[in-house]
Order: sequence, then structure tokens, then C-alpha cells
Amino acid sequence: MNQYTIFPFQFARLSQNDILMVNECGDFLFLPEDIFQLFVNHTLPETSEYFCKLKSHIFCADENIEIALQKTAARYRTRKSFLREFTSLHMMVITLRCNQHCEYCQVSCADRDAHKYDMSKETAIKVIDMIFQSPTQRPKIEFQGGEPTLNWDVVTASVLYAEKIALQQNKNVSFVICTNLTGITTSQLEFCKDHNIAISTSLDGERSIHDSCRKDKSGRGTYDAFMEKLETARKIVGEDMVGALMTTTAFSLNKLKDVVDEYVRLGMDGIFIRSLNPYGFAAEQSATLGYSMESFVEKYLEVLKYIIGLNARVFFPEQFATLLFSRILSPFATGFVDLQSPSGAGISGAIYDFDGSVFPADEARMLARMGDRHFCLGNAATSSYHDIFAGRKLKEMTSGACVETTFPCAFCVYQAFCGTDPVRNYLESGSEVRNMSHSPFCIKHKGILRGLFDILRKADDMTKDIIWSWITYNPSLVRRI
Amino acid sequence: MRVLKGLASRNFSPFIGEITRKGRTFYSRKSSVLLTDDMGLSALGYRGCITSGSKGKFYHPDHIYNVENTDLLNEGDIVRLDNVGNIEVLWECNSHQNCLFLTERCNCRCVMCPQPPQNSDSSVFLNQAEEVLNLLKGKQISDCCLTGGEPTLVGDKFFVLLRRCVVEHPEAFITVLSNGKLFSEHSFTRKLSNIPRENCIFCISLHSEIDMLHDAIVGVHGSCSATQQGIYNLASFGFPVEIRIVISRYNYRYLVQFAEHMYNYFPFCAHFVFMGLELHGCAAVHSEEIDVDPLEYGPYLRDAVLLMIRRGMPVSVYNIPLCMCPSDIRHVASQSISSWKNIWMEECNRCMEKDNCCGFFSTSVSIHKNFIKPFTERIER
Repeated sequence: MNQYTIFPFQFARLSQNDILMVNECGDFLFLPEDIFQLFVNHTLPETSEYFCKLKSHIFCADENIEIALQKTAARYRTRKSFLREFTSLHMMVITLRCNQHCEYCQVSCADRDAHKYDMSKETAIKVIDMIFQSPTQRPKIEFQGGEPTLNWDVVTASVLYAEKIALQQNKNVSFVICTNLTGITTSQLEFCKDHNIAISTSLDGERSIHDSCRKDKSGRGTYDAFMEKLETARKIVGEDMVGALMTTTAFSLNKLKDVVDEYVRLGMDGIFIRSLNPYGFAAEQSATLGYSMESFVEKYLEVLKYIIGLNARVFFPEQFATLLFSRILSPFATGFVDLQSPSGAGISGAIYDFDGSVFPADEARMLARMGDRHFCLGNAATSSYHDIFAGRKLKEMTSGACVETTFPCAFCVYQAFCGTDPVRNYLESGSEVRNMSHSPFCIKHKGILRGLFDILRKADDMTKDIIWSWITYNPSLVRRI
Repeated sequence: MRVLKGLASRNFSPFIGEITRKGRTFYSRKSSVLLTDDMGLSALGYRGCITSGSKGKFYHPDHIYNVENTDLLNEGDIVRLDNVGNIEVLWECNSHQNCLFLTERCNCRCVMCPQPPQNSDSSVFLNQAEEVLNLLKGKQISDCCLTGGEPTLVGDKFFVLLRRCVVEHPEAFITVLSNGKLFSEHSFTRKLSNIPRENCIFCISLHSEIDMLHDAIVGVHGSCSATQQGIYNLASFGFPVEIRIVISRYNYRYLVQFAEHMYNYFPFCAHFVFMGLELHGCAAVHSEEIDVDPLEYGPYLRDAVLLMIRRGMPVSVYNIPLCMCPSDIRHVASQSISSWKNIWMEECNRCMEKDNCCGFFSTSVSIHKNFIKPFTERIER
């Protein structure tokens, strides 16, 4: 028996007689089964190459435990440093009205003339006052809807007011507007340009895919209108300031390559293959739009390999894989509100509904729209910052939303790279904390992470270059054909 | 260090002064050494003189005569003259590799050390360093390196000298070559707290993250953990740290693992350097045991450097000639060998890349000559 100390780690047996091991701070190693047995039984010779490897990736130490612990702690702190940016993403629901009626709309949009669903200027000012009470130096304000351009005066008033406060407080504020673009005007685009407002829009794929869900009020497809405005927007605001998101539905699940091709054709700077969220209209329409998480994972990994192949020609990252690869391969923190531990809801992002109600996540607001105000943290007009962001509700929710302390996530080999979503848990199980096994959330992330590790294990130099070009956003890493 | 030789005018005590060829006004000659072809009346009033000609008169200041190659000395260089007739060039104005040598003592016994440590008294070196700094005061310098031995072993004097360098020369880039072990003590590192960090970097040697391996290379048990702890402490005081890894037979097969470890646990470091051996001193004695040819370590070095480049880490390769560097990492190889001990082989004169190459150590006892392949055209960068 050898006197080395084994540090805590998670592991899983993979198909190829290999064991994937991940330590507390997210460093990983593949080990053959027989070596693993020797290691855990304290019989691995300290002179073996594998022992050196295990030591190098801090799964064990012999005499110098202190420095090994210090390294683990430093990396752990770094990976959790997103917590220091206390609430950086603030979403403002400018109106619930929309000029479109998309099949999968998560918010169940309101009619064009339902002005009671508009955020008032007074509420917007109160919301911005609250946003600037967050300790973060770099608040990001995202205008959402409905279609925020339909209540444009409140958007402009909010931007001007936030810029003024940012100047006073010496903070660095940035803006994003989420718009379907179809109704946007030239003067609105010029305002975006003048105030450095990034545009986040929606594009599901080529015409037939896009039009199958993204429809106007009379049920006609919006592809042509979108394309026209996309060109204008890119011309006025600049290509790098216009990004698009896609939602995978049953219509596109088997055609994800076509979706990717459309994005590449349009010269987009990447794609985020997103699964459908079970809220709003999407929940009502799940029979026609929905699919099983298992099939999403399968199709996602398939199209991811296609995208990696494409990168031999053109720099085009898949953004969800980029995020997860960064978590697997880099020691740094990654900001992604939807997949964090503790959950990013409220502490990394918050959303302010049209009436000033504050929710920890967009999904919580959608839930409220579906009739359950469980997650409402208060109202920007009537509650104090302290009541909302240091209140009992958010504290309780956050302390429960840690994979490190919840069964069975705490023992999952992917724990260090994953996160949790109390809102989704509540929607699916009636409780913020649940056993995640076999939940769609778990099926998705486990399946994708398993696939990514498989890609990593087989990666040749070219694939490694491609993956790192995504992580470091450095297109020049790859020698393209 | 460059040393010129001549004959001493008498049995004087060693002294330090600043070279002048042009001459100085009489009242500013006290700290200068006149470089002249023949000793005349104009040599009066100087701290000393150096001449290629013959011995001066009794009324002349102490001097060294019959010196060859005086053209190697430049206006403003700082030299030390002794009674044996040695002229040590302590500071070269036109060089970017000037050092202040603080001690011959060391708390490591590296198997590949080119300057084997001595247990000598450090005060000579410390006074010398102080005098050099006095002469440099008010001048513009581009860089200065504090080295040894292990410079931190001189204790409080180290902090005083470092502070002087950093504060008196904010325009310069100050480097400290150290094994970092003493900084594993928090109380020792804390003495850095009154030293500005903007123009100063600690270059710490770490040859492996595996304690058995590193400790075997540096010859002292416990060094690996102390050095790494030191790096963490230096970083926590906000000082930039460069990690230097010397490639030898001991560690070359572990370079990739080392590179990955650096990214995972030392991503805050400012620069990473892989260095070829200088087969001098201990390294010459142990050359059989430590030397490894470029063909053997090349693939490992390549993978380690590429791993770092992919991750966006600032990485360089020192002391490895371009023709012995794997082609896809040549762009990070630097001209790293101090000019006074830098040589090229005959084949190198035909090479198109000679002016971008580090060449060889004149001090090395053997050179991998059969791996020299002169470039017949410029390489792509």
C-alpha cells in the first residue's frame, strides 16, 4: 500500500474500458480500468507514468498536499468568480405586445393593440434605478418583449436614462435589444447604432423551416420580411452587432444541417443550437412542436460534428459547445445564466416584467404569465433593492440550486461543468429542488457532455485547433482549406 | 560577462568606473575611467584608465595597459578594474541583457546549472551592484536583470536593490531570475509590498510540476512545492511571473503534461519559456546524464508549445537554434543568448535565417553540430 492521498473526485465508466475522472475544480483525465483499480486501492506504483499524470491533474499527492490543495482552491475560486459579478444581466420586458404570433412563443404574446401590457416610462426609470444598485461594474440591459420596438419611446427613454446614470456612477453599461426585426424602422436602427445597442434577433433556418413557426398575426410566414430587414440592420448597425438565435422544433430537428447552412450562407458569426423550452404556446403545442430530449441530444451531436467539419473551411463556432468546451478545458469562469451552480437565476440575471415585477429568470416570468407567480421577487416600483436581491426568496432558491450539494448531481461526473435551473424544476416537478435523474434537463446536459468528451478523446490536431479557436475566439488558429 | 585583459599599473584595490572615450571636464572625472590610446596629461583626475598602449607614469591614475580589443568597450559602459589586469564589463550600454549579479550562493543544486554555486561572501557583489546603480542613476536604461546564484538569498539587500532598480528606472524593464523558493514564506514575500509592480517581472525556474522530477533536477528535496508556493505568493502580491523550464533528459518527455498543468493551475503567469541547455559548469560535468538531442525532444517540445499557443498562452523558446526547432513552433523561438557568449558555426554563415536565430553558447562543451541545417531561403512567419 502506497501512502499517497487521494483527493475527492467524480468518475464514470465509459464504453471503451476507460474511466473518466473529474476532480473538484473541473480538471479531468481518462484512465484505463486496471490502472484505476490500482489507484483507488493505493497500489499504483509512485514511479509509474500514470501516477505522474494523476498527480499532474491533481487527483492525488504524496507529501506536498498543501500546494496541491492551494492549486485546487485557486482554480475553484477562479471557476466560481462569476459570483463576484453580482447580477450583470438585466432584462426589461418593454411590452408584451407583438406583431408576430410564433407557434412556440414562450411568453404567449399579446395583441398589437393591448397597450395595457406596455411598460410605462415611470416603471422603466424605477427599473433602471434598481439595475444600477447591483454591485456589478458592467450591467447589461436587454430589452425584451413581446416585440420591444412596438413601445419604442420607452426603449429610447430607458437607454438615455441608463447612459446618464452609468456616467454618474462610472459604470460600463451595454444594451441588447431582442427583436424579430420585421417591424423595425430605419430611424430605430439608427438609434441602435448611435447608442451601441446590439441586436439579437431570431432566425430558425431557411425559408420553409423559419416560416413553419415564425408567423405574423394572420399566420403567414415572416421569412421575406425578416431577410429584408436583416440586410438593412446589418448595413446600419454593423454586421458584428446583429446576432441571431434559433429554436429547434420538430420541424427543424431533422434538418439542423440546413439551418447551419443558412447561417453560414448569411455570414453569421456562429450558431447556438437551442432546444425548445416548455413554456407558453410551446407548452400548449408540444404535440406538434416537441420532441424527446434524447432525440435532441442525438441530433445536436450529429450537427455539431457537421459544424466542426465546416470549420476546416470557415470560422463558425457552435456556441453551446463552445461554452461547455471552455468549462471542460479551461480554468476560467464562464458566464451563462441558464447553466450555473449556484443557479444564475437572480444572482447573474434578473428580469423586470412590463408592470415592474421582478423575476429571477425569463422562465419565471413566463410561468407567471401561465398563472403561477411563485417566483415573483417583488416590484421595482414598490420594493427595495435589498428586499428583492437580498430577500428570503432569492436566498432560499439560490442555496438550494447548487449541484454540489444536491443528490444525485453531487456524484455526477459532469457536475463541475453543469448547473441547475430551479424554475424549470418547479415547473416540471412542483419543487425547486428535485432529483434530476431522467429529467429532460439532465438527459440533455449529460448526453451532450458525454458526446463532447467523446469528441475530445478522439480529437486530432485539426479538431483541437478548431475547438480552441472557438474557446479563445481566435479564428487564425485554424489553417483553413 | 565580458572580460578584457591587460597589465595593472600597480597593486591597486579593485574599483568600478564608467568608461569615457571622449573625456570629461576635470571636475567630473572622479567616477570615470578614461579609455585612451596613450597615457598623457589628459588622463589626470580620472578614477582610472585603460589603454591599448604602454604603461603610464607614476603620476597617472591607476590603470591597465597593453589591453587588446578596446573597441569592445563603449562610452558609458561600467567596468571593474583589478590589480591582476582584468577589466570586467559590468554594464554594457548597447546591450539589452545587463545583469546585476548579487551572490554566488544558491539554495538549489541544479544538475544543469551553468554557474555552479559557491559559498562565497556576497558582500563584494552587493557593493558592486550598488556602485553600478549609483553610476546608472539618472540615466535611461532599457532593462536590468537581478541574478546570481539565487539573488533572494541576500535577504533585505535584495529588496533594497530591487526597489532601487524599479524606482530609479521606471523606464526600464526589471527582471529577477530566481527559483522563487524563499517566496513560499508569506512574511518574506510581504517585503515586496513597497515595491512598484509595473515594470518588474519574476522569472522563476520550474522544470516539472511533479515533485519527484523537479526535486531530482534541482537536487534539493522540497524545492518543487516551495517554488510553486512562491509563484502563488508572488502572484497574490500582484507581481507578474514568468515560468522558465529548462529542457533536459530528465523532463523532456513530460513537457506536454507540464504545459497542460501550467494552463490549468498557473494561467495567471505572464509568460512561459522553454529553454535549451547551456552545457557549462555542472551541466558540462553531467552532460551525458542531461543532454538530449533535438530530434529526441523536438516532438514533445512541439506538442507542448502548440498546446500553449492553442490556449492563447504567451510562450517562447530560448536557446534553441531555428534549424533544431520543429517548423511549426519556430515563430516563438527568440534570440536569447547573451551577446558576449553567443557564437555561430561555420555552416551558419550560409544560412538565410542567421540574423533571426539564437545561435549557440560559446560556453557549451558540446554542440549538436550534426543537426545544423542552414536555411537556403527565408522561412515563413
